[in-house]
Amino acid sequence: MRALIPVAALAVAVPLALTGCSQIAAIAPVGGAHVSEVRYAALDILVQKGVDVLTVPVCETVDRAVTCTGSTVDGGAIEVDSPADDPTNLTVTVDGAVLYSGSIQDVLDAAVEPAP
Amino acid sequence: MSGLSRRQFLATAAAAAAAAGIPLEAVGAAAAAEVTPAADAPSTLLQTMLQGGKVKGEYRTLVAGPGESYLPRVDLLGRAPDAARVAARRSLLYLGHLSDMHVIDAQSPGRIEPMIVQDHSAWGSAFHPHDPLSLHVTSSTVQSFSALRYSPLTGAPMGAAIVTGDSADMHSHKELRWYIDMLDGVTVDPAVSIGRQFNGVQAWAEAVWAYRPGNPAGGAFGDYGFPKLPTLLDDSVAHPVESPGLPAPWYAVYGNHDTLLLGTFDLSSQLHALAVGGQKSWSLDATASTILGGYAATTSALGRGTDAAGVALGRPGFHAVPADPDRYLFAQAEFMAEHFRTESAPGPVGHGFTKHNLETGQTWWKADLTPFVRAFGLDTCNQVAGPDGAVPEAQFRWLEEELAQAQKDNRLVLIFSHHNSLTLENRAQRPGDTEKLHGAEEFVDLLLRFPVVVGWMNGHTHLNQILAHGGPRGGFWEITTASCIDFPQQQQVVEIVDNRDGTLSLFTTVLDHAAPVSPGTGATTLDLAAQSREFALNDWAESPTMRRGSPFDRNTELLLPAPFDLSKITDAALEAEHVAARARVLAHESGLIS
Repeated sequence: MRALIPVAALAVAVPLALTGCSQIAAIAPVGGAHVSEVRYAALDILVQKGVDVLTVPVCETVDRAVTCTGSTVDGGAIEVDSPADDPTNLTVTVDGAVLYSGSIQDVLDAAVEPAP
Repeated sequence: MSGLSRRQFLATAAAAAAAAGIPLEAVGAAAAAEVTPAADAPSTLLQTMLQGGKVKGEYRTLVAGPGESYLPRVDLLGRAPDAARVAARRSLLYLGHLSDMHVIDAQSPGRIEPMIVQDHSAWGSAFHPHDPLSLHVTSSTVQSFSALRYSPLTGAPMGAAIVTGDSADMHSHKELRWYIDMLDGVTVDPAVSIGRQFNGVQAWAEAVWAYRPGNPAGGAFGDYGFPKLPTLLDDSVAHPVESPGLPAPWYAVYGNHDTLLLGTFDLSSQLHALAVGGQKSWSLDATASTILGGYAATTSALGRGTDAAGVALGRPGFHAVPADPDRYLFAQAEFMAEHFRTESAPGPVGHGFTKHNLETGQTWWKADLTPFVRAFGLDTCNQVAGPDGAVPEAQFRWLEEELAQAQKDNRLVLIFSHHNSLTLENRAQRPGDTEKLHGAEEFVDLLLRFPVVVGWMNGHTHLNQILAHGGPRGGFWEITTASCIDFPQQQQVVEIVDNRDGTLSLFTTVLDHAAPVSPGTGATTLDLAAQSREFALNDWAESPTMRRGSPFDRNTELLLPAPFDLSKITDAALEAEHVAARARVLAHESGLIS
C-alpha cells in the first residue's frame, strides 16, 4: 500500500502541475482502514467475552458509519455500530445485550498487551 | 499416506531426486519416513510478540506472549465441523504467503522522506525510523519461512510460496534485485558501489524531523523517546546480508509500489534523474518542489532537460551522496523481466511470469502449483494514480474463462493479487482510456460463480485480515497478510487440507520473522531485524497496534464445503507430489548446511 495522502497535503506539495492524466486520483487514501479498526475491536471483544461465533461479523461503511452483523452458534444476532458522528467509539451487542460500548483504540491497545 | 506402489514410489523418488539434484537414497529415506507435524518450528502457535511497558517517554519495547492455537471459523460451513476430521485430514498443499516486503534502499536519492514534515500521518509511508533495516527484516523473514519448511500442522513439505506485491518500496531496480536475491538465497551487500558509511537523512543533523539514531534529540522521534544508538546506521551497511532463500518455488504479482512512485504517483523525469544521481534531499521544500514538482515538466523534452540539469548542479536542501546507477527506476515490464534473472532453485524462472508475459506485456499469469491446485496471479494495480486498485476488463474476462476451465478440470483454485476487497475501487484512468475497471463487488461475484475458488490471498493494507465470502454455491476465504515494514512485521503460511468428510480447511499460521523479541547488541542481521520490529511498534503514525488483526484473522482453521469429490485426488497422486516437494526441501536443507 500505503500512501494515505489527503487532498490538502498534496495541494501544498504539488501545486497542481499535474497534467496529462488524472494524477488527482493519487490523493485518494488507501481504503478500509477505519472499517478494519472497528471490525478488529469488535472481534477482540467477542473473543474476550467468550462468545461462540458462527458467522464472524461482516462490516460495511455507509456515509462514514460502520455497522457489522454476525451470528452466534445458538442463533443470536451480533451487531456492531460505530456511528459517523462518533467514529472513535463502538458498541457491540449480542441479541441486544451490550457487551461493550466505548473507545475502539482502548480495545486495540489492550489486545496487543499481555493479559493482566 | 500409502498411495504409491513400491515400484511407483521408487520411480517417483528417482525423478524427484534428479530434479532436485539430491541423492536418491536421501529422497527415498526422507519420503519413506513417518510424517509428523513440525510442532517445534517457530511460529505464533508457540509464541507471540506483545507490547511491553514504556521504557522512555512513549517508547515501548516488545515482550514475549503466549502462542495462539488455531481458531476454527465456520462462516461458510454454517455448522459445527465434524470432530473426526482431525484424524482424517490430509494435506493438499502447504504454501508460504509473503506480502508487502517493502525492501528499501534508505540511502537512495530517489526517496521522498521529508514529506512527513508536512503531515506525518498522511505521508507516513515515505519515512519509517527503521527504513535502513528492511534488508535485515527481509532476511529474517526468509529465515522464518525456511524454519517452517515443514508444516506445523501436518508435517507436509512446503510446496510453493506466493509474494503478493509491494516488494520494491520506491520503484528502484536495486530494491527489486535485493528482494529477488533474498528470496533466492543470494547474499546482498548494501555497500556495493556506495561504501560502508551510511549517507542518508537519518545521518544528517539538518533533518531534525527524522529519527537520527546518532542523536535523536530535537525532533519528534527524540521527544517520543526513540533511543540513541550511535552505530546503528553504519551497522546497517557494515556487512553483507545473507539469506537461506525460500524452501519452495515462489511466485510473484505486482503491487502498487511496483507500479507507481510510493505506490501512488506516476514517475516523474525529475525522480528518474535524482534516483541515479549524487544529490539527496533532506528538506520538505527541496523534495516538494524538486521531486514531486517535477510532474510539471514530465510532458516536455525541455522540462526533462531542465530537471536533469537541476539534479546535476545541486540545489538547496540537498546533500551529496555516492551515486549508484543501479538505483534506476524500473519500467513496468522490467519488473517481470527481472524475475527471469533468478536462481534455478527454488525457481521457477519467471516466478509465475512466462515468456508470453514478456512478449505481450500482459502482467498476469496462471500456474498449476500442483496437479490439483491452480493459481491465478493478477495485476490489480492502477497504472495511472492512487494506491488502491481494480481489475481491468481484459483481465476480468480472461479470469472468467480460466475459472470456467478450472471448474471443468476439478482444480482447486487460489487467487493471488495485491489488493484486497476493501481496496478495489480505484478507477483512475487517463483521458481517452475506456477499458472498464471492475471493483470489489463485481470481482467477488465473479469468484463466487466458481466453487473451485477456495482462497483469495492478498495484501496491501499491512494487516492480518480474513474475510468469508459466502454465496449460494459455497464461497471462498479471503486472506490478507500483513507486511514486513509496519508492525507487527508478520507473514504467514497457509495449508489446504482435505478433511475427507466433504469439507476442506484452509489453515492459516502467522509468522513473526526470525529475529528475537529484543534486539541484542551484536549488530547481527537478526539483531538489526529485531531493532526494526521494535521501531515499527513505536512508529505511531502507522497505527501499529491495530495491524495484528483479531484472533479470527491470525491462526485459524477456515472451513468450507469441498467443491467436488476430493477423493478424485488420489493418495498416490498426493504422495507423488509430496515426494517431489520433500526432495526440493532436502535440496534447500543441503544449502543450509553448506
